[in-house]
Amino acid sequence: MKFEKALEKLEEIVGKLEGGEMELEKSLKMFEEGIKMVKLCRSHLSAAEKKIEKLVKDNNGNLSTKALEEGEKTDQDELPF
Amino acid sequence: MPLPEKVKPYSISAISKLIKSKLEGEFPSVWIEGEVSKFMRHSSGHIYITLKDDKAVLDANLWKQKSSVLKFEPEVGMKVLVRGRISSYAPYSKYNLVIEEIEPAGLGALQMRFEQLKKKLSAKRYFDESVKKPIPVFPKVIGVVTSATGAAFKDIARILKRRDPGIKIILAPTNVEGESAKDSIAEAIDDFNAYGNVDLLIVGRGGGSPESLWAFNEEVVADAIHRSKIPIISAVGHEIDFTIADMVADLRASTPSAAAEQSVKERADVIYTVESFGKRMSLALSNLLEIYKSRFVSTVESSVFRYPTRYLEEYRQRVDENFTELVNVLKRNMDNERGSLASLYRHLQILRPENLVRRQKENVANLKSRLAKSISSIVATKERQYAVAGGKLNSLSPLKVLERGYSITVRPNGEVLKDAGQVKEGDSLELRLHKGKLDVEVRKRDI
Repeated sequence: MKFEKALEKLEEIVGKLEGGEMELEKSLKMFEEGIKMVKLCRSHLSAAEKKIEKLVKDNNGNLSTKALEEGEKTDQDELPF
Repeated sequence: MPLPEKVKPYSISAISKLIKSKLEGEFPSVWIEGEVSKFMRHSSGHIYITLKDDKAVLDANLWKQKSSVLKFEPEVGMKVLVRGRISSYAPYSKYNLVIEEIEPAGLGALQMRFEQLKKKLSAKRYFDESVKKPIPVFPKVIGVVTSATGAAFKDIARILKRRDPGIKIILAPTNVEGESAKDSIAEAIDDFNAYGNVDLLIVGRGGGSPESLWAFNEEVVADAIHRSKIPIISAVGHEIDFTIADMVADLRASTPSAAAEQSVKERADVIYTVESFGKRMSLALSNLLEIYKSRFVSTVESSVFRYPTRYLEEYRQRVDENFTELVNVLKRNMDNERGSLASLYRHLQILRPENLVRRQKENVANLKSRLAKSISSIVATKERQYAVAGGKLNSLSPLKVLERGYSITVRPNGEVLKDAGQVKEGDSLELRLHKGKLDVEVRKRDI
């Protein structure tokens, strides 16, 4: 599930539980679902640092990405643009 | 008519040729200001323009080879400033202006071109809010269309990483200046769309002169931004620079750094949001359990549970009535509706008092066990709270202080002694130590 969706769902669950109008059984189910969403969000938020990549196109027009070498972006740092 | 002596007439072609060479020699390069009265782009690529003022007209042409000097689209009625040479076509004895440069009078050529493209794209609804794509709130992968060597990319990458190290950044290295820039930018945008797996694009470059930002005012770039399925944030130059790309993009950021700031939320803030949702959820649930518990307690204490038989009697009476009715129905339908007998019987079974009692019993048992559970969990919580509070209390207790070697001096009346001025020499006092106490006498005061 996408992070946005999980967060949205979590917010909805919080709203419903705070509304306090559901049956106990349903509230408990909701709570469980909410805990799942919290865990999902946490795992998204603990994503490890990603390397910077660049988009490359071969002669046939096929697109792929590869790591951007450090030198490619630092050797002309002093350029104003 | 006889000619005067020594006069030799010119032939038409001779005078025509002479005029041509005089004219062309006299006006190799002139600036002329006038109004466009006719404008025609020939299929050959040559351009024919008639210029005029209130008293005269002048034909002018712009050869195909030179047509790139035209940076805007001349319109009839427009005032222009042109530089060129006067040329004559001898066979017709006519002269015209061969244009070398042309600019709108008043506005600069680039400005004019900008205004014209703006008008055109506006008519094509490129700037309408309704065609703009929403910017994703939590993009995971961000494509950047800019120069690999510029400060813009460095800024963007640095800020994105700082805000959320989990963001994946893909750069499409692009020329952002010069003739090839516009196609390079448009191609990179199309490439990202073909590649997919990208949530958001940042398209831009750092500051520079209006000319160096020009690629972002080109129609091919506007088209590419407009057809992109991936939402685009434009980030061209400084705050004051406003380009066509900015107007077509789904969101305009004033600078590349601002684009990075706007596209990604601080991870810490998002974590805070998630955690506070979690806390609110737990709180809401425990409030809810609290409510159910009190409702349960009042139910248990209500008369149904205190005098269950009274209610059962009512049920029994109702069952009796139903039973009588059922028997009647049964009698009536015995002959033709034998099939329904079984279901009627089942119905009857449900209504039997034993079953009703059993179900009520189950209910009570169930409620009891839930009460026990919630009470034991409350007790556990209180115990925990108590343990924590006890720990705090302990660390504040004076006994703990004594344990570290301090002592308390108490006067015979039980008052704690804090000031040597309160006693006289010869008074007895009591010293309370960590273990045991001492009776002491004041030998000397030192105030």
